[in-house]
Amino acid sequence: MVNNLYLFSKRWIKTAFILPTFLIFAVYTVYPLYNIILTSFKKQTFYEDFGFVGLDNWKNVLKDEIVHKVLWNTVIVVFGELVLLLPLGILLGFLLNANFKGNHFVRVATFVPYILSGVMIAIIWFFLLDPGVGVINAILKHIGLDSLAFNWIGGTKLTPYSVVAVDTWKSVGFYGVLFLTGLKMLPKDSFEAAMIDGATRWQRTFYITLPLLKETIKISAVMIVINAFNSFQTVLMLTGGGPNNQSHLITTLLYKVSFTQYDFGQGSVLATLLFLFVMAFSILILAFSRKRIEE
Amino acid sequence: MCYISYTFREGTEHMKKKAVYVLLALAIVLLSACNSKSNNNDSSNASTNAATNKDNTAATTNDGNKATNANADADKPAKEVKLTYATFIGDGDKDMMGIVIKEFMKTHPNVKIETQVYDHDTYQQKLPIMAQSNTLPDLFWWNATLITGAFDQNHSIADLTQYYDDDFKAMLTPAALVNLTTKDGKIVGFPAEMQVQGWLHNKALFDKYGVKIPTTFDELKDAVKTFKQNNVVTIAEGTKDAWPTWGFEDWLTKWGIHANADALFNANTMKYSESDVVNAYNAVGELAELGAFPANNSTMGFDQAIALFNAGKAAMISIPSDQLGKIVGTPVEKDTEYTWGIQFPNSKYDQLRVPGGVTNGYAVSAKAAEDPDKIAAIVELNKFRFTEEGFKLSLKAGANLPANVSADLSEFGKIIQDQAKMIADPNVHIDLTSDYSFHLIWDANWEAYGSKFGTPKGALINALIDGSKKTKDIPAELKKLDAIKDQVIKDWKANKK
Repeated sequence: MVNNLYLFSKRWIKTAFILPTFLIFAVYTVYPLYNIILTSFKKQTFYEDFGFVGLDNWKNVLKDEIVHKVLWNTVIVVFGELVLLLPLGILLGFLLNANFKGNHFVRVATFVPYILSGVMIAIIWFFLLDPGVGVINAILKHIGLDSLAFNWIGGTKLTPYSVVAVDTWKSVGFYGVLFLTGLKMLPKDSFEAAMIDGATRWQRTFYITLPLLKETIKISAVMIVINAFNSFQTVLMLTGGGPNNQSHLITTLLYKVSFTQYDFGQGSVLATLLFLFVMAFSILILAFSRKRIEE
Repeated sequence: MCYISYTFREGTEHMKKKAVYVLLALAIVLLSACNSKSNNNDSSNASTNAATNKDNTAATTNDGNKATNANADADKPAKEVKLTYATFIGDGDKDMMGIVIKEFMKTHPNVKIETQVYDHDTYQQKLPIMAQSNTLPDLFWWNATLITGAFDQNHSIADLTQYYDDDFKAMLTPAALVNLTTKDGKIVGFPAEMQVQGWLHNKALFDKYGVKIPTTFDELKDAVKTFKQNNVVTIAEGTKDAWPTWGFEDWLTKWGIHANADALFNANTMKYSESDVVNAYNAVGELAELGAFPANNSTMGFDQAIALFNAGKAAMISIPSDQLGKIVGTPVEKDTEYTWGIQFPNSKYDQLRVPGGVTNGYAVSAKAAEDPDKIAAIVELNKFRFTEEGFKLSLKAGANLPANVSADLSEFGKIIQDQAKMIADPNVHIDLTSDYSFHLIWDANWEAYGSKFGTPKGALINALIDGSKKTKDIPAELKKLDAIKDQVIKDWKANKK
């Protein structure tokens, strides 16, 4: 009896259950990550591995002015989406939480872009934003506002902002529903107490609703940042990264360097940089959250 | 009572479950029976296509004018052969292989060829991955030097040397196999078209605005000014796709990139930024500043440029042979005039030199070659392409094959006839054994060396066209290309086998 207990000890069973997940994590996450970091110090193409080249790849990437532009584009997209999606998501959540005729239609209409293919969304927006064939500039020129018919895409400056607009339009419905869920789960007694105390609607919103939604806001912020760093299809379909690599994001540039220039070494540097940025942001937000919970 | 009704209900549920299981089991048995029946049919077929097709192929090459289509064992049905064919040209009638495949399948009903179409850039990115992972389609189009490169690296591509008997070789022109032959003499593909880069002009637009079709750079500049005044796009060119810079790469040839290839790319005794090639880039920059290109060309791909030309809204387009099918048969074709493009009278280099060659091919995956029925069908298909019938079919798609065929071209449209006349022009120096690309010097290794210099070289042309770089930026950009060239040559020499 005692021997049987040893044979099927709890630790053994725990290990057996965790092992498959750990193996999958090791094979599909840890190993590729290790391989990418290792490759960033090598000269490697599809077919040939020329061995270690020290820090050459890192130096070439970090001093390349195109990479500086690409990093700046990525910063614009990340902060742009954070600044737009969070407040718009919250406002949409409030709207969807309200009782009005057509509430269901608004819920569906705002969520549909989120479930559509990213490629389809980008193609639709191409025919809106393109300076030559796009509807926006055609309308502006038609009503005599030629001076406002900018190069929304295809120029060297505005493409990242256009990417922010497209990605925001695609995702705002999702975050609206996320905040709606958060609002539905708020305890009613705090609001009742506030109403008894004579708090106005604005006071209830700013002093009760938003503080209670802080955790939802933090989770949404992390998700927005991660998705913004991973934005890929929009730029690829709208501009292909042009003109002259000026509208690339880190994701599209690393794809181009790796799969059209066959330089896996420099592509791995960009992939490692992307990983470091996403990890840094995530750790910052998690650290801030943990501090908040402890308080 | 409740207990009885409960038991009755439980029993009924149990019976329902049993019935479902029985039905499922029956379905599985039926499906597996059907599958084994079809397998038995395949294996019970006595005649092998391999032997039959080989005999028929010999008869075809001897005859030279008939497509091969007879099955020696006429009584038994021929074994079904399924093949996959990959390309980036979506319209089968515009694809030199696709149009032949359609005809081949009519005469060989047992051969089923499934065409897989990819976007060009995606296609070029997928193929090396497929080659590396040995998941290539059975038959696929690719650039000749990339086929030989992939063969050298990992043998996922079939060695086709044994299928090139003397009769088959006699059907081909001397240049047909130059780029598809490895260093140790193995032939690793079937030739595609004779690839030359030409310029199509919409003569109706030139006549409408009283502009002469330009033969020199100065005449081209004058044409640009006139067309710009009349809101007509002079040159349909998009820079969203990186690759269609070939027409302007031809200007690099006219300013000596091939003539100085050894000094530039082998001995490295000449700087790119100090060579006459600078003049070619200056010419592109000047045209861009004059407004020769569409305003939104940075978001315009090659197919959109073609659409602009086909719609009669652009006066000229630079177009390689393998893309001619996209204009053949369109309403604008009758108004086109095909030329080799402008010359630079003040250049000391050969202005009649037209870079060309059989630079693309159709390769076979090593896996497909292991199947005797598949390889036999593929070889027969490709031998059919170089018969007179196959040659004419390819011409319908705009492709002039490197075949020893004298065909009457009067039934074909203007572009095909014009191109054939131009290729046959004895005054033009078409070097069909060469390529546009300088990287042949670097062991023809595009992945390791050619792309490192070639991609930014072409990107600078696109940058000048889309206006992100101006003529004043050219010296600095060429110095960057020099730095890249120096590094590539250093790496190439250090790793030379």
